[in-house]
Amino acid sequence: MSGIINSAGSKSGVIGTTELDYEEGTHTVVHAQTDGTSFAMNSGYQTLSYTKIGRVVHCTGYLVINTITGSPSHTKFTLPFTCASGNEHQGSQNAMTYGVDYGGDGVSIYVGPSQKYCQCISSRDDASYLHVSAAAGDEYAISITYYTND
Amino acid sequence: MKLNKIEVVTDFKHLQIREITDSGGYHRRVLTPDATLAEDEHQEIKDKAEELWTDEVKTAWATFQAEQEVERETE
Repeated sequence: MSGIINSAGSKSGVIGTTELDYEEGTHTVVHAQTDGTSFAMNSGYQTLSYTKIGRVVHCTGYLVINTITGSPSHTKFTLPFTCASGNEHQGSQNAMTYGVDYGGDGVSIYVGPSQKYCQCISSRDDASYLHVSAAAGDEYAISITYYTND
Repeated sequence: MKLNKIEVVTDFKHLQIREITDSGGYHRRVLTPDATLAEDEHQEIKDKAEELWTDEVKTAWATFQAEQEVERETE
């Protein structure tokens, strides 16, 4: 299929026979902790860029945690859109990190159904994954794709 | 930023907000029923939250969140 997406503003257009909304923008990331802790982002590294085509959202950005309050058991960053409900709409991708202390085989960014945040997890071979605890100075290069509602 | 659109999504009445930045670009954020709205939040958003975030919705959202946590912990 091929088609035309209009050229300005909130765009929509037709690809083949399907009309799709197209939108680009930014999201200012804040913590989405659910364990009673919180963290503040480095203001120079707290923006995600997003592109939304139809229901598919793709986000990229470089995030740096500045300060921590409490002892976090996980790391959760807000997203520009709520993930659609249903397991088929979840998304996860690996992240490049700097200074992040994790116990598994690398760090993935995961977004679950009906959630407005992504969380950082560390997968392990043949074992359950581990949550990555937030710490001051943690850096993440994020790229994630998931489905939203409309 | 100028409020451009409020979308209500999921059974839990998330408010999906689109704003326009000073440079004309779009900015997005989501507010969930457990959120404490800022004093300087747009009045239209405050009104929508007041209307939609009933105790029933707040309870359903809290329950869902707790279930999700348990599900992930036991996976």
